[in-house]
Amino acid sequence: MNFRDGNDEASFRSGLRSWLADNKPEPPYPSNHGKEGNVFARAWHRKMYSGGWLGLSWPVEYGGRGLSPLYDAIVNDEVGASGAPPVPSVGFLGRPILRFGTPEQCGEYLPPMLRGELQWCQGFSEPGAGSDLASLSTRAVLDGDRYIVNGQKVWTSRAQYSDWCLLLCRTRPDLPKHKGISCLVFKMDSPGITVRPLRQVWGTAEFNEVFFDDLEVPVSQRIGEDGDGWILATTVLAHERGPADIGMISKFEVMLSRLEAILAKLPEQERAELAPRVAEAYTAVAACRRHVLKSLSLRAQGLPPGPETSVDKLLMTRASQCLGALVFETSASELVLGENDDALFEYLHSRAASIYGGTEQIQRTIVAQRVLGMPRGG
Amino acid sequence: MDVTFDESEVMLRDTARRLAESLACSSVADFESFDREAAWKALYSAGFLGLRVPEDYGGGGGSTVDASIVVEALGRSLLPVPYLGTAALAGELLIAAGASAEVLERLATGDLRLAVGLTSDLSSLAVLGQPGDIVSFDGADADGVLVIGAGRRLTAVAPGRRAVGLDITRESLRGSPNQTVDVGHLGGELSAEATARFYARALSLVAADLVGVMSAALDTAVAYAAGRVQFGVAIGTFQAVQHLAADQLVSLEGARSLAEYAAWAADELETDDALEAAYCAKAYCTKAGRTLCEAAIQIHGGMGITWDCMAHVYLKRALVDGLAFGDHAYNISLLAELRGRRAS
Repeated sequence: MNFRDGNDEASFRSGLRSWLADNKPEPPYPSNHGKEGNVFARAWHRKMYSGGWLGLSWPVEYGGRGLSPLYDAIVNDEVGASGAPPVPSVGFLGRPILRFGTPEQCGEYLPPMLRGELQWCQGFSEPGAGSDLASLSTRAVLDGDRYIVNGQKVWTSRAQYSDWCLLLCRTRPDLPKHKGISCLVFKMDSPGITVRPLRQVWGTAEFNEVFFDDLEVPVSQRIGEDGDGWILATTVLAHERGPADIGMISKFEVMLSRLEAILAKLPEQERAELAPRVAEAYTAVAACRRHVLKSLSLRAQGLPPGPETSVDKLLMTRASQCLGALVFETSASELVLGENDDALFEYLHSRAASIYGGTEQIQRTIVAQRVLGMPRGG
Repeated sequence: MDVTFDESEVMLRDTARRLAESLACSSVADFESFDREAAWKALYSAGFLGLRVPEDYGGGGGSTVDASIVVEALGRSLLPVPYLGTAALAGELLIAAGASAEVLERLATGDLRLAVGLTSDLSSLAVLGQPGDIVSFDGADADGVLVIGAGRRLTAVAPGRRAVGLDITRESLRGSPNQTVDVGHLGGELSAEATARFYARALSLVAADLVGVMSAALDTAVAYAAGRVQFGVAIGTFQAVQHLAADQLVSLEGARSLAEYAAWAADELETDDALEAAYCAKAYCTKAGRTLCEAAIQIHGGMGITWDCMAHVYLKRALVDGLAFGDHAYNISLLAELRGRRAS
């Protein structure tokens, strides 16, 4: 057991630290989590990629650096400590392409995804298929060398800004529900796509409804074989649930240091009341961070993420909601007066943490049945 | 960086688990008739008694991570031997103080057994001459109780009445402040640095015992839920039971990750970093340990409230571990204070 950087890791870390000092955007960062926020996040993505700090554990031939997944943890540590914008979430949509796609597909889709040139969205959930994702009903009918897609997706994050979509759809309605699903990718400006933003509780629209009316997708844009969709979806979700892949740890560190800064300025009585709760949040973040490091160490040894990533997700949810509650309490009067959109977003977004990527209840069931081995009901 | 156990750590863990399982009590009644001497000899033969004592003094020269691996394995089997108290913690304190080669050698052979004397709230090392009781947990068979005496030098006082108290797997005892015992040269002045380092190690070792206890308590509850049939099905199929158990596993995994990091940090990092990791681990493990063991009782239903069911044995050991070197609130306040001081 060794938490210390090896020589290469240490020089990577110090290189990143000085790069961040020179390249970190000047705060404040856009408080609008809508379009302006997306433009800002994309610019930061490109900047970090061109600095050589993203796509680290991806193969070199697809624009990555071929490094161990533990480098992702270093990036999360350092970005979090520097107070820079969160680490862009690259990867969780690319992983299934890497695993199931042809070399041609990987060569075409992955490099611009890692570089932050093309933005991708995830067409999974439907009005009738949320937690029960496998019951999805968006249909893709094979017609010669193309599929004709009809149906509707929902909760599609940033679909309105995305260039490409990775879609789960039913190609074989005659097969049992988990077996008849396939995965297609296509450009979001293809004819037959309508995107309708949904306004969220914090006021801006991050996710969308997406409608497909006779969308045509060439068979060459199917990822994996016909019927591979379900296993591919679980690959995406296992990665999405690993907090290192979605840059959450760096965000937590930033939130924690902001709370500690607020704490330091409080009068003694108030500080004494709040300090133990901030320390409690620190332990929740630390538990998440240390556990993720373990998951990444296992990944570095060649073990793919499995159901245990739901433990990471649940630890992440606890940390997120512990911090979110404190953000609310330390800015209550500003929130009432409508003067702190960031705090409003952070608190409310922490409530989404137990819903996105599979609800807390779904994760608990996965942990109980697939990690603890508890029996399934009849 | 690789934060999983390396080959030798895995080997140590497997050896310790096998040994602990071979000695473990299989029923609650067994604790009363347990042959502690035989078990102590087995721990000596395995080289665990002086695991952290330098090799020059006949010890194993192991790391705090090694010690925490053994403590966790023994906790997991609820082994009713005072390993944590009189081998691991007393050993750390004697090494920190620079006790003589003879004392350390006798510790490593199991010939000398000393307990660590704590203040009456069990949060800190007891200081001779200060008001309040000297209490030591897990001090069975101790020849003396270590306290901080004049000039911040360790002093051994006579062990007083022993009792199987709350924790039926380990004995607690009082120290007698007016009666010192000569057990050999116990080293020089305990510097602030050595004391801080001792606390970092002690907290991480108690946290390791908690992790062991938690993991066994959860296993027991999950196994019970798989076998207990109600409404015609195993209660483990019910989502209410599954989610309760899953939440406990999440806490256990968080606790384990923090305890392992704290044990590593205790040897490898600067004092403040080591303490930060230790306070964090002890606070988290204390809270998670109590919650998990209470949930394990809940999953056992009415059985969980009977003396013969192992569930209360886990809870009681976790509660006593929770108090040792400070409860949740105590360690949270130390963590808050340290973070505040480091930020300014």
